[in-house]
Amino acid sequence: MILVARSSSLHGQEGKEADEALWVARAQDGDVDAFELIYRSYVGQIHALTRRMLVSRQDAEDVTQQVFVRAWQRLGSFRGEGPLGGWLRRIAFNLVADRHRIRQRAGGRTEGEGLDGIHQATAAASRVSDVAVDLERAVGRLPDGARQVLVLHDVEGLSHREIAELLGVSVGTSKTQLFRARRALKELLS
Amino acid sequence: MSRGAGGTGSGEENSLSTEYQLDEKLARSLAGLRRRERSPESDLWPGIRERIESLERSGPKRYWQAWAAVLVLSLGLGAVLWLAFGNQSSSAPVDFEVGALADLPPESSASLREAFARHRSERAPLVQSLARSLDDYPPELRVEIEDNLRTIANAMEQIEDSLRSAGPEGDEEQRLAALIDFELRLLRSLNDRLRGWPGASSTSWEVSR
Repeated sequence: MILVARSSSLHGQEGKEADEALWVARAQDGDVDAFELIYRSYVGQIHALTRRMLVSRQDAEDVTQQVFVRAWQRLGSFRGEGPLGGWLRRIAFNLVADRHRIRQRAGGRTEGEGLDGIHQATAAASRVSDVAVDLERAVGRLPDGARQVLVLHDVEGLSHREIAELLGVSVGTSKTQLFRARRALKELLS
Repeated sequence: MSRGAGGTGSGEENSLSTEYQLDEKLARSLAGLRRRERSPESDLWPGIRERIESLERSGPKRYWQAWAAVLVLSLGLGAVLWLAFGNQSSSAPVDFEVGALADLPPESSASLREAFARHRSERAPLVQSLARSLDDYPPELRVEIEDNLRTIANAMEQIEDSLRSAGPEGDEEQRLAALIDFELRLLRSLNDRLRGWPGASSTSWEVSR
């Protein structure tokens, strides 16, 4: 019985990793059904990330879809040196950053909006109600640039240098946006 | 990674301390969001499968964008000149983007590997130098150049994907190597000419091929 129990507990994490390695190997050989298993396993994490960074449901679903298409295209370069989830998240970061840049070019909200956008967001939140604002919703109310830096730094754990490279901004801009985002978030939550 | 805003000093010690505690709590809550999952409202898999199968059907011959990029560049450089000299109005600075190729498939040819190695070692410094030079010029020029470089980067990525999914094909490898060299020549040319401005205003902007 002891042996059975040990085997069972070992199977938890190791079994998942083994399954995942098998799915990846099969998908690398062109097995779309195996890739679907990868999709089913990670879509919740990836969509939560894209939704948090992009807010718009449609945008987030588009980018989530793109993440898995890109992953399929690039699966040959995945060598299993790091976790598959981290690799997928990297793809998502890049695609979200691309979309952010396209928006900026198209004249959407930009990182320069800074305090004005944050103050508007704060005012909007204070109008909502006296009820405590859910953290996720509060993050979603931050302006694009500030929100993305906050999510990448405080949620995803990227360094300012990594964020700067990813978003194509300076390290100083990343730090400034994080400061603004944290301050605004505290206002939103207070 | 730095979470929270630690405080020092004496006069504001109490308020900073409160703020620090709040930040730590907030930082933990934010970090916890990473573990949350959220499914899309509709199942995205059918659309993904369709796109994957469509990619498989279209096969490796998707390098037309590479040549479209070259055409865009040729036409775009005229616009670059106009923007630089014809439109001196300035607005907020634009971020300059650095693109890069991913790893090549292991079975790639030696010539492509050489081109890839050149790209890896030379592109980043050239782009950085270009970005510095562009600080003295209207932001529209920066955007124009960035757009063109991005088009090339996208084209390279498509050829890479084709190579990876279908294995090496002579034509595609040559095209990717040619595009890599073209981009490096373009970057060198832009750097040389921007350094020479405004004295070089009468020089041609055609990039040698």
